[in-house]
Amino acid sequence: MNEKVAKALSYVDEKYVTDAAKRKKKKTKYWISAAAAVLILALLFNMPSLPMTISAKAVSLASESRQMQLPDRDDYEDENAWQADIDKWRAEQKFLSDTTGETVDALAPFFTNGSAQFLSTQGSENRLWSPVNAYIGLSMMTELTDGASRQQILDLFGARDIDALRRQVGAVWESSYNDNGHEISALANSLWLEEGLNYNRDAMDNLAYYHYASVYKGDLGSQKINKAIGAWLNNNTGGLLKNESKNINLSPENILALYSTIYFQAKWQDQFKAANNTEGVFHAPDGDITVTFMNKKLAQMNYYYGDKFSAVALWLKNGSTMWFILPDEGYTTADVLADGQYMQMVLQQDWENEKWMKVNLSVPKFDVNSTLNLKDGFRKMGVTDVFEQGTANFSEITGDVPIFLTEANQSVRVQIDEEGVKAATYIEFPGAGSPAPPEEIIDFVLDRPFLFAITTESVPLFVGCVNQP
Amino acid sequence: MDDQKIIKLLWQRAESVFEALAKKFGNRLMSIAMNILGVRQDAEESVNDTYLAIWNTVPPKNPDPLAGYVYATGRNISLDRLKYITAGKRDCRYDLSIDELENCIPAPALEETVEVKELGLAINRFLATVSADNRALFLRRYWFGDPVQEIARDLGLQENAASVRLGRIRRQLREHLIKEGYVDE
Repeated sequence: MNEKVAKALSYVDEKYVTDAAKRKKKKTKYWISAAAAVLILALLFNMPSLPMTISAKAVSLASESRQMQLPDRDDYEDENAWQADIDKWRAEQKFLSDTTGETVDALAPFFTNGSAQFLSTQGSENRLWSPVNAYIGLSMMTELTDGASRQQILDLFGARDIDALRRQVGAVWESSYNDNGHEISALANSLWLEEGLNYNRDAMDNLAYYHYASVYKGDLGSQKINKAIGAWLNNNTGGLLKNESKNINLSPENILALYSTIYFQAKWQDQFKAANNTEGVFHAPDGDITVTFMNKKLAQMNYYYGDKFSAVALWLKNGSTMWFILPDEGYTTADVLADGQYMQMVLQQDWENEKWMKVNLSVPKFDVNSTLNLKDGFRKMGVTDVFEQGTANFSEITGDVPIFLTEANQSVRVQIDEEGVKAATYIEFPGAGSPAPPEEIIDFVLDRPFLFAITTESVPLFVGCVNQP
Repeated sequence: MDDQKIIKLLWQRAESVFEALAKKFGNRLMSIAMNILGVRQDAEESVNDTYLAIWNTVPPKNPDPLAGYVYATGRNISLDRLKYITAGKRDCRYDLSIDELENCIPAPALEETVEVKELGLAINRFLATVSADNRALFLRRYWFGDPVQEIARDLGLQENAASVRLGRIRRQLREHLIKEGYVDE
């Protein structure tokens, strides 16, 4: 034994020695928790934004929106320069729109199958998910994985390689992002790393740039980091999910945790009048309940119809759309979800079954939420390896440390609101097949379980099944 | 018992501190001593000498962190004991790990003109540049002298993966030392 080498080690900082001894048996398993995509639709409320204070060390901070702002003439002395920038802005908008359109086409099977997987229920609970949030959350995994673990995700999203996926994610994120202080559609992502994890710096930078994700590190499972994650969720959801965010409780075995949020807030383009609201019966699976309906009389809008459903779409001031989809008599929401035809309408893919009509509309005021574990659904859709100890390949983040994904939870809350009371009416709906609506004036009353979808640029931000408004 | 209470007992000269030291640090100290000395009786004597050395040096010392000080004291006592007993000729587990490390250190750093302290501080500077996980892996192997299989189990790694990572860290150490001027001819 070389005594000099042995003795030289005596000069190693005792703090390092203490830490090395403590690390003994600290981690017996390496888990990732991909959790809590937290989503809110708050109509008619302006939520104050909270100060962003995260008490964890930042490894890398998410890229801001890279979208060019519409050039303002007042900012230019030279009209030609302004015009040139306008042309650039238009070209970028076209590129975003084209890329988003292509991406939505490629993702249509994911949106359709995922909605069927996650929202179909024999029970009476409300079920909601955010397709775009699941998409961006899973797409982040491609930066951390390699081999079959990555390929399965690329295949699910119809992306030929990781560069194509990065372009698609960028277009979807930029198209969905909007924050003018009144109407907000803000997507945010974060990755939390165990302090001392030997991470790949390039992967972190890629997450920040291509997936708009912030990366933080700390002692996962500690109260401090649980609180920091809660604060991050609060900040990115306008403080509306305090109940969920205060219950963050990572296990000490977690070495990575992924959080993805969407905060969505917009006003109806044509608001409901509080004076027209009514109390009425909603035929929930467990029995009739009384709810408040928001009503519009003879509102002019497109009426949509499919083989097993009819639908209307309401516009929001930020350019988004909220779809209300009611199964025809004799069909359930599960039937409509399984059939998948409605998604073709929501994604605006060559849909012709629509007619401009006067609609007597009754929509229940609701504030619904659900938390789903998307893991089994993802597995059924072909993303299996990342969830399996032994097959999961997270080599892009930690080299040879065995990591696998234990959960993929998504919490969603959607709230629509309007003040007022008035009576509601019933309606007969078209039966099977795709007949044209029978009359020019139609009653559309959502008084039994229905589906809804909220889209921006045809990207489905939220899809839900409301059984109990 | 937390470190502050143990130090308080030492400052109060309370003999109950020996039991507290043994309870908190005994297993690890025994493991270090066994890795270096390889014989239980020698190791036990080394651990007991360690407790006595802690008693004699605290106070006036007030070590923070206490654990690192205790382990470092124990390790030095075991190394001295090994030299005294066998003049360094006994085969022990620690030989293997130090041989591994020695092989990655550039020859100029091992020359007599380089003082032990100088080399030790260079290694310490290197350890400041690696992740806490890799630092723990390195120190468990070369400071504590633990077998790779045991370290891998404790850190949740495959044995092969732990060996590969150790190899990588040794290469990085070599590059670091070369950058500091210990260049092979």
